[in-house]
Amino acid sequence: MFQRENNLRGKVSKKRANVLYIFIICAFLLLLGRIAWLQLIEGEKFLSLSKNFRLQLLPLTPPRGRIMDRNGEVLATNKISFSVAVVPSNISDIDTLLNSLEKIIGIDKQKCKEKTQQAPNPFKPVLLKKNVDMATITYILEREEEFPGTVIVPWPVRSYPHHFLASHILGYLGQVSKEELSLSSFSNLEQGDLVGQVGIERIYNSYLRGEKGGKQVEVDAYGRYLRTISERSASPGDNVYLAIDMRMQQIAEEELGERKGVVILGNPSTGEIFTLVSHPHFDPNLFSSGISNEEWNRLKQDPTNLLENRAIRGEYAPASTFKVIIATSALENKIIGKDDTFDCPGKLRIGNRIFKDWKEEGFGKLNLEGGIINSCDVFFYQLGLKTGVDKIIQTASFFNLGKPTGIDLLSEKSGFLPTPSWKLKNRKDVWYQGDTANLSIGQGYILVTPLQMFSVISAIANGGDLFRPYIAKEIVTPEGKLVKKFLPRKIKRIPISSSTLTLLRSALKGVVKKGTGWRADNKVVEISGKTGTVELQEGEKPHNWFIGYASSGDPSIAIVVLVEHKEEERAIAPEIAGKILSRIFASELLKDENFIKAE
Amino acid sequence: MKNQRVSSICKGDFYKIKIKEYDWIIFLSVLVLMGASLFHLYTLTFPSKVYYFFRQITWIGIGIGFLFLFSFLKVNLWKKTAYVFYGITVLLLVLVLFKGKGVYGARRWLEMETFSIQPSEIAKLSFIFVISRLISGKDIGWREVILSFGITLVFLILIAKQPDMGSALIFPLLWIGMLFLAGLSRKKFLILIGSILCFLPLFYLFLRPYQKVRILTFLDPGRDPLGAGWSSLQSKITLGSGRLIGRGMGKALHSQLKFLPQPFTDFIFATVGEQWGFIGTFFISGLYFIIIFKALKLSKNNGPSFAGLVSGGISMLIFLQVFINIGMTAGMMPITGIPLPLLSYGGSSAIMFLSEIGILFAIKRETLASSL
Repeated sequence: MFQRENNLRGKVSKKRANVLYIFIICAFLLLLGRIAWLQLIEGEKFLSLSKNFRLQLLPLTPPRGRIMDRNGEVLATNKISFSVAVVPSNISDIDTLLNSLEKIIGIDKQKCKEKTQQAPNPFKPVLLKKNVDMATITYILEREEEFPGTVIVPWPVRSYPHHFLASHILGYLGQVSKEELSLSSFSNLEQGDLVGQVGIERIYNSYLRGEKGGKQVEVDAYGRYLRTISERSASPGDNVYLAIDMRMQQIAEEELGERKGVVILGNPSTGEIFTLVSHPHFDPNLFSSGISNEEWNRLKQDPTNLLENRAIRGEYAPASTFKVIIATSALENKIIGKDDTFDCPGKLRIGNRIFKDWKEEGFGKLNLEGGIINSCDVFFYQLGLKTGVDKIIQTASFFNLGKPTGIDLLSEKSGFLPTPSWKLKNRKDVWYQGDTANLSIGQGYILVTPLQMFSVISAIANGGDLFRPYIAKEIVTPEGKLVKKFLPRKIKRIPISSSTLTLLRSALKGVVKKGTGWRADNKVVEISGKTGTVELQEGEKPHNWFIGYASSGDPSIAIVVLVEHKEEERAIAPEIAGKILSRIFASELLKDENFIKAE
Repeated sequence: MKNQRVSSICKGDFYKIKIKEYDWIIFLSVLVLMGASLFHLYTLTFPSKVYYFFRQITWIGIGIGFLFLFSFLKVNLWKKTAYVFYGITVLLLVLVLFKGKGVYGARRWLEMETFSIQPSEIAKLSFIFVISRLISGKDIGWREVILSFGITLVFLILIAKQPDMGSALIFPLLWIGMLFLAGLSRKKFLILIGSILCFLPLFYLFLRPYQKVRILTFLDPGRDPLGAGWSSLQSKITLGSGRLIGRGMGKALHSQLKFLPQPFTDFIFATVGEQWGFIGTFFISGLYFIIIFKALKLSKNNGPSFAGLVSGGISMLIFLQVFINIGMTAGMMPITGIPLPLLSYGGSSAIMFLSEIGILFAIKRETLASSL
């Protein structure tokens, strides 16, 4: 029985094998038929195609999306530049060709020869010289026959019409790196392609870059175009609209002048950044058509770090601007009441060290508001010690100090909040009362970025909400269709009572009206704010801070000014802030539709 | 002799060989393919990349060693170890996903000190063994179908994740072919094919973007002249330009000028066509046909036994690889990274192909012995 069944299956299996025989024979016949078609019938055509193969593969690079400010002012666009290239497969005699090209465009013959001979695809133009002027291009085009194999490649070049202005926001382009090529987000790029390196150009690169196309064309023996075999058009990149207002940016850069430093202006109730100046700056146009190694090294090794965006990557001690945090911490933790006072004799002994005030003769008795207005150090040493380091750090972290703000720019630094356990672990030492005293005036280990201070002062101006600062407002297709809209994003509500806010705001108003920030005072707009002076090592000139906001009516602009190593004797940061804000409010800038809409 | 059973696995699993028991027709075909492989590699790689030529000689040497070794081994040994072998292969495939070396963005190779192995090649043989063991010598019910489908799915997913969609797709095809050969009832077979066709569109969703591009490019070659369409066009030009008698020995002009990407791996058949014309391509295809045909004959003689299914599986495996690779070269199939067995440069593929031939020899001897 079993044997019979097995036999039966054996028969089925044999039949199946026969079916497979037929299947495989058919498949091979199909293959051979196809090969015979290609080799015997179409063979001549393919042979001549192969022999006289004068196909060129022309990449069609899409125009990169433009970058505009909130009013549609163009900050980054494209212009056409012409490059001279050769198609290796179409060159009859490379030495003669390079000789005659050398005479008119001045190339390194040896280097170009190597480049041409080592080209991976002989139908793809090899770039010899970029940015060739129109007259030379015309000359070559008129005498095409003299330069067999030469082609002129129009090349869209990134152009930044405002040059230095806002360069740290925009960023620049550079060749895609080997590491980036292996990333999936750069999957359809090739070596030599330009991508955004920093700034908006980098972070929105995938929107700006567009989709590459290509064209396969047949050319004659001179490399002249005969016909297009196939083509896929390139689709242009999307445009990015920023929250930046270029007129404000201009004003801020003018007022900061040649000083090294940072100015940030923005809407405290949304986190929109109107202006972000980091000085010294650079001209992003330099990078557009490929920067030479020497030039790149010069920029990179510049002692002023001009490629660094100080607004997000500069870490400074907050100095007296941190007193805002101390005051908040003390008030919220009920360490001090509105009318409680401290004695401020001009110096304070803590342990066996004397801590001095910035004003030697002291202020006498001061309440909290007076302490802030006069930025009295001795007042804050005592308040800080009474509050304690843990509560101070807790309040500072409510404001997200020690964390990146999350702005849409890459490699933002997070500053630093010291704690006693950090000090024990990393400095092998306990936290002294003196450390708390230093922290109370924003000196010592603590570090912040100017943008973090912008978030802090914005939160105080808007009533306690912490917003993510942002630069890009909208991404729009070239046809004007909205791709992405960036809305204000509230990170959190800071636990701060309205009575604390009222006291703080009145004190900050007083700072400008009659205190250390008096240089910001002006007839156009009422400003509230806090100053700070970062004491550095002996012989180094101090940094100068001003953080504040325009407080006439609804607060509508928050400002941070930081001047590195100020040359002036006087407090220059509040003066600059006052000038910027009064110029903006004196003009019609804020009455624009764009700002009304933003509210 | 016959009654002297030796208990130790080593000795008991080996044969005494007799030269006349080899399948000389297969062996000759293999030798000619080997010669063709080395010849083409040499003409394509000399002088700058002759390194590949010498490496291929090494691979083929090792492969021949495996061929003889496996021709001595009893087929039953593969049956006994099928599940263990399967387990090891799965481990290797998992390992390659984490530790694998990436080439062109895919993780397909496990790097050793001086060479790297491609577990997906080993998986093909291991797959044939495990499926054969599962469905040989019994009626195939839904239980076997589902179990073997599970096994297929594991390989399919692990290899598709590398990603190597071409190799991955060989497994389900092989699975269907082996079920068919093993005598799965016609009704069940049709139900199976029907349900697969229903799920096929879903599969497209899981493809990587570049794989979708390749398929779309295959359907419309003008779509992407810079990418996949370029390779396909160049391959056709290379192949076609050989016409009837070819451009002559060593005159693989189009391939040598680097028009054709990867001329000595995936597209080596185009180079054969360029140098030797239709005569050459007909001859090489004929050699593969002989091997496939003879292996299938072996399977027919052995019926739905383990040995029969293994030889049938090997026959279909070689057929699928040859058909997909040549089809791709001739512009009939989308571009996948499936090598032409033995002809394409590549150690794992050459060694596995020669091992398969060795197993075929062992099966042939067993068949001869039992029919005596």
